[in-house]
Amino acid sequence: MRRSVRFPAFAALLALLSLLTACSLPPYNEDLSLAQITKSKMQLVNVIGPVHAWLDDDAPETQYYFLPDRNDPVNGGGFFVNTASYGMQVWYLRDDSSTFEGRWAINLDNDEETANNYLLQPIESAADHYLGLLRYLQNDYFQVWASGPGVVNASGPTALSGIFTALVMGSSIFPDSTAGSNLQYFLCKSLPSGPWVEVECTVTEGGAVINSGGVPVDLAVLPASLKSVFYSRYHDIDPAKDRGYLSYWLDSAREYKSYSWTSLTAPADLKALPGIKGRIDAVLSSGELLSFQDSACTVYNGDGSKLYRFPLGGLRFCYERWDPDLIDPKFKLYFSLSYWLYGSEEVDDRLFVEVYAIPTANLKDLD
Amino acid sequence: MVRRKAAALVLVLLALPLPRLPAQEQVPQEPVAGEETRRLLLCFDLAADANFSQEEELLLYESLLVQVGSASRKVAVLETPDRKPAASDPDRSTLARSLGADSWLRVSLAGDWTSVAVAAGSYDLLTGQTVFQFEMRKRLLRGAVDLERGFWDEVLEATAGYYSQAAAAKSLPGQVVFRAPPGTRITVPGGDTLRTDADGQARLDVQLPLTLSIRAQRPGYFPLENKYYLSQELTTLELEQARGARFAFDVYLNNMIFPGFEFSWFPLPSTLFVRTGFTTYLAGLLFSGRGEDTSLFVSMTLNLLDLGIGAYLNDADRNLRAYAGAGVFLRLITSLAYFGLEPIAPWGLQAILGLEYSRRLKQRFYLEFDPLLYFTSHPDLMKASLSSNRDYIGYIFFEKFAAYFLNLRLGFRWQL
Repeated sequence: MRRSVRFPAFAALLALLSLLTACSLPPYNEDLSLAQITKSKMQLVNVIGPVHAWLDDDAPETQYYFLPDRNDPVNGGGFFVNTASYGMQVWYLRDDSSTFEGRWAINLDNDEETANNYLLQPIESAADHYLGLLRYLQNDYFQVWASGPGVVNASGPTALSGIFTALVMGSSIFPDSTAGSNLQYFLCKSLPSGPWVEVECTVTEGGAVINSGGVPVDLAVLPASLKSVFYSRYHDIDPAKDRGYLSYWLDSAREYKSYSWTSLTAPADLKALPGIKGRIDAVLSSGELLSFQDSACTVYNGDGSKLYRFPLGGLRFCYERWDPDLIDPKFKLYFSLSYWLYGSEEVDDRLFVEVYAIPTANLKDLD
Repeated sequence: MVRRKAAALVLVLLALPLPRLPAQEQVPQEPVAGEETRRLLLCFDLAADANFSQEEELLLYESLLVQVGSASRKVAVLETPDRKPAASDPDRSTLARSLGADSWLRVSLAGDWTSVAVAAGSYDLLTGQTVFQFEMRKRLLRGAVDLERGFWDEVLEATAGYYSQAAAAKSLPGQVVFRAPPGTRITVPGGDTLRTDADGQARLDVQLPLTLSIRAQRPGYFPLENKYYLSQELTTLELEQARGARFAFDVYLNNMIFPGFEFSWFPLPSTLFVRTGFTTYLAGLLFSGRGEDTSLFVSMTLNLLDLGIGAYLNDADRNLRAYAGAGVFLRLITSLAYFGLEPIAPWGLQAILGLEYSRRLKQRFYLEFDPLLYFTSHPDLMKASLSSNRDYIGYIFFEKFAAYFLNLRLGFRWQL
């Protein structure tokens, strides 16, 4: 090749190949890879999909996750939730679902400034399949129920009158339920200036919320306005061991503050938990606390001391549930993983859902 | 007065028929095929006390150049670059060698246009002898016309007389001895290829004197390409080649987005390489958008470590070099949540096909194709790990592995 021809030929080859390869990213999704590490140590209990759909171009930018039916996370279906900062959509999927049918949607104001301003929890029920949705607004409690794929409805918003005519900022369900009901706690305040109190209720079949009649715990020492709240109560047969937990975002410190208290009647023993970096996101029957941050789950003891950590990625912690196995009954933790295989102009997109379980006592194996 | 004369001379010269003033590109003459031709470097200078205008100097030089060039078909005349005169005879010899000449002719002028003092001398590099040397004084009574009619006769006769005879002289059979490390391959134009023996010698029968171009190659060394002037007295050539590169350091962009670094060691310098390096996806620049909301900056908690071997496919002194090889790679996650092998497609094989381009031996641009073969037990998860279906381009997925054909590196390589 003549010298005068070599360089232009080299440059032309370079330009052509650059066009072919530019903006091609490697096959890597941190959520999937980290989830793969952890899920390989758990038991796969349910698989749903492929569920076919034609996604919008911006669909990969939205968040989606799966919450298995609390009645039967192994053989049942569950709710597929798609959220964006402005709203939420819910479908009910089963192992025989091949397409998305019927949905329920609601608006949210859940952008960065108002993050975590709602709580979505599967509710155990003898009839149908239930989700409890709390938007942290005044008198705004929904119950989303599905009798099967394509039939998703909601009741609400419920004022919860008679229990607390108030702003609800958190709720937790204690997993030890029998007869299809749930022991559920609410953190709420009477507007405009009432103190924060926590109330114990029973959520019955059909979603009725019944105040258990206990004296509300007065948490008047908390700031009047709470942001990005997590609240939960660890329930023990021995009332002296009961603990309430709270995390909220403090703008002035640019960090989460976490507290616990043991008294059912007084706020005097409100105890700061400075060892917890981030927000408490779950309280387990073992008394351990989970915090999900930076694609990992950090496990603390009840006093806020860090115990261990494991990668989480795209795994979604769904709930803790009492497994009434006749031979070996125990508490189990349920996680789900949802991922899409993107199609093309001619081939549709496909959703795959996997549900994993691990005994609460074995959680440390994930480290 | 002199300037008016010079101007008139220019007009006269311009009016002369073209064959009398050939274009400069016609000098030097190309060697005539089938004939021995001498290559004579013309060195022209003015004495310090010479009094010539620039136009007069140009006329004198070009008339000499044209007439010497036409004096004999057996003499090809070369010019000094920019007509810059060499300071001494050794300098002229060195310059002549560097320009491929085998002799030089020096003409030095003094005086002025009306009385020109000419000093001429010539040296034959092949015989190592001064051919002639004389001085004379000339007058230019009729200006440029005199330049055409006999002004340079003595110089032309001396030059043509000697070099025509020298070129026509019957050459004698002889033998060239090349000295180089054993195994050196020596290529001589005309097809002969020699290889030095265990004593580091190779011999070639030739007719002497001779101008010989050779190319010496030895694995691990930069090829040596040069022209030598061999006489009956000078028949041994020492060939010293520079050792090739032992190490290299690369900086590159993977697929025009992500940076990477590579370190190479050459077991056989500039030829066989073993290399290791990494591409980091922690920070990259996405020059072509993937959507309206796409950021220019892209970051993934992934790194690719590679280890490979390969070989260059052509000589180390070529501007364009090709190489090929193969290797393995590992994918490593470096996130806050996890540090370790990526679990879905942790490793694979990599082909290496590259092209280097540079006019320098040791600093080179390169373009490299590195098709990847990922091994995976979860092809669906790997497919789901791509950001969108447009990223499927270039991939072929199988049950246990996936091939990606559009992996490209563009970089710069320093060889040490």
